[in-house]
Amino acid sequence: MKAREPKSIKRFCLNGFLSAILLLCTGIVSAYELTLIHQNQTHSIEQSSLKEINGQTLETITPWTDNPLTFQGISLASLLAKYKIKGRIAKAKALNDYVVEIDLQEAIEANAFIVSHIDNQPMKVRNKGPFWIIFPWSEKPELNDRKYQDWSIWQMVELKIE
Amino acid sequence: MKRYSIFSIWLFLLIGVSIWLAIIFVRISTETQNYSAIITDNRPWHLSQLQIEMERLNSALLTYQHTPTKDTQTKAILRMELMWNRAEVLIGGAAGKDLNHYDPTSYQFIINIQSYLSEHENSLYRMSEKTARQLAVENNRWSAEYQLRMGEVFQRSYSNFHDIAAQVQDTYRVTKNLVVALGLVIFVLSFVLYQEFQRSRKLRISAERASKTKSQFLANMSHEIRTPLNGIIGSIQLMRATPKADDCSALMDTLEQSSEALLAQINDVLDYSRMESEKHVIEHVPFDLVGLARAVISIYSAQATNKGLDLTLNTEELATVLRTDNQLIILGDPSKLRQILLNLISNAIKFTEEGKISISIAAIEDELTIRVKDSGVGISSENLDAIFKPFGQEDSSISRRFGGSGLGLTISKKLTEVLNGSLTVNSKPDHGSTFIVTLPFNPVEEDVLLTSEVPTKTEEAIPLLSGKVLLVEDNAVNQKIAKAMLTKLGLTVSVANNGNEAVSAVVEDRFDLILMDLQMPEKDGIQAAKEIRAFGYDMPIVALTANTTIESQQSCFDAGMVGFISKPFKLDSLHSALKLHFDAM
Repeated sequence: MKAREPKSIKRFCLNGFLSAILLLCTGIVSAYELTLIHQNQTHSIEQSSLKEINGQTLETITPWTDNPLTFQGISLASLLAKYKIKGRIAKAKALNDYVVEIDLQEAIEANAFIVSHIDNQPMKVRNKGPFWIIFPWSEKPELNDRKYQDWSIWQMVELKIE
Repeated sequence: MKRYSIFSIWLFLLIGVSIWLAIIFVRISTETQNYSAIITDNRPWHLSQLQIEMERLNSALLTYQHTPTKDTQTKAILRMELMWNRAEVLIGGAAGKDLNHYDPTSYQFIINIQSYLSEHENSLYRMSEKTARQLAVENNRWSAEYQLRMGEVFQRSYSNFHDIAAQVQDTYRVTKNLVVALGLVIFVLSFVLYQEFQRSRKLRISAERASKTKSQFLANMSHEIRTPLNGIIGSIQLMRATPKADDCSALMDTLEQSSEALLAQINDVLDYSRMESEKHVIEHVPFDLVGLARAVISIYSAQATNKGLDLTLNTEELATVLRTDNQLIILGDPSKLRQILLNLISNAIKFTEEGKISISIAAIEDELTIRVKDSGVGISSENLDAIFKPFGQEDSSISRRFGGSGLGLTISKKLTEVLNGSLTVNSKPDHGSTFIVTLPFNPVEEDVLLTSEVPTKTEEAIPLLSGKVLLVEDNAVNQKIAKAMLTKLGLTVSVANNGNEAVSAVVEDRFDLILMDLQMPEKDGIQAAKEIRAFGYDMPIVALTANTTIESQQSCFDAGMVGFISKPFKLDSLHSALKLHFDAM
């Protein structure tokens, strides 16, 4: 995971164009937050601030998209470290109330990532935003199996550590 | 060691193959499970999720149209986004490729939905009431078509799944049968190989044992032949060194004993090999059993007396069947029975250092029992069976101490079996042995005139014969001996070196008798005899040969010969054989 910067003018222009669309939409679309729950503590992390915590980037393919994408977000391990949270399992909940249970230790060992942006653009719900748990599939193709795909919950809005 | 390693390699191989097959088996089952799980879970689930999202979007749009508030608008946008995402999931990544391959029409249909959404992205995110109305119309149309399409897809996928499941089941079954068959084949093969291996091992071991026994026997034979030969050669050298005037009779005795021991040894071997080749002609002639026993005992009485042994014959148990002249006439094969007795008595004398040897004869109902009991060294129980086997002297130390070919008992046992009887032994070490011969008892009631079976050895001077004899013999030494003996018998002797010379001699001169060797160079004895007969000469021709088989005797008679003297021969046996023909003249 190396930090990525805009590579070209072309990319920059595209980003600018997309930002313009986003700006247009922000007035209408409410800002999403990730609710991190541990015991009786609750942390709300805005979609725009998650990637600022450690400034981490992950470039990978995913089983559901066609080309490699550059995601911004934070590794699950870093997120838990930041809030000094320890636990055994994570219950991740999506916008449509779908819930999946994730084995924390295994997920962290597999380098699970919570991403909120693609190419520095916030992920919309239709792009599996606001938050998506992904794994470095390009780096570790062996992670492309049923278990990790099930854990790769999209449109995530709540993460409860137990 | 080698055969065990081969066997263990085989075993490891078998275990390895079994494990390998088991792994394949497990893997196939797992694959089957995985495959069926993918078919049943993933694709239909994703497909149906889009349908659900469409329905939810429909409901959100209706709510928004009914109650146009900020909240219902946001919900309508969220539902639109969720439906959009679902559509993208179906056409993106591996799932998209799969759908495009599997159902390109549905794929294209979803692409069209996505294009519409992208095209109207801005207005959709604003979600005015008008947009909501338009989207509701589109969404209803999509939903209806998608429902129809999915019905087809599910039906097709279900029947496909069915086919695939059946195919997988078939493969599984075939594989299972194959594995079972393979296992069975391997098992049977290992079993057969193991059997074969065991069999060849047994064969090899018995061959090794036989060859070992034969080498042992040859070693014994060599020893037994060398010992008397040593006596013979030594005596001859001593005689040569002795001044002519001195008495050589002691050396002569040694010479004679050694020669007879050598002859006995060779006879044993010949008897044994003849018996091995199963050529038995059993005689059924009346003879006096008691007389025969006495004669055999008389042969060994001198030897027994020399050793200080008491050698006796006990016929008390025969009291009821014995005739007044103390004879017991039975039907049987006297020569074989004599050989059995000779072997047993010589054996008893050989293994007894002091005490007595008693031979007892008993006849109970139709069974005749002859016991040869000694007070000798005895036989340990574990060796009781071995002594009847060829070359089965208790151990090689015994054969060194007592001599003998180790064939006497084997021959005796075989002979009793040939005579429908049996030979057994009771013995304990240091308590002597009793050999028991059991034979069928065939007494002869009527008074049969019998000639004495055993020629009585006379010390009287042999009466002289007169006549002219042609000796046909190729070996110079044998010529010399035969000529000397014949001259001593009072005969005039001419010598021919082979069959050709013999025929010419017969043509040139007149002979009263021809003594004919069989194996000679140029022309053998049989051929010469045939030619002499063919020329019309009718003088008796007697074979003189070291070849003593029944076949060779028969071919002699076929060639017109009238007698058969086997080499080596003694003066008295030569005399008695020739006397017959000279008396007849």
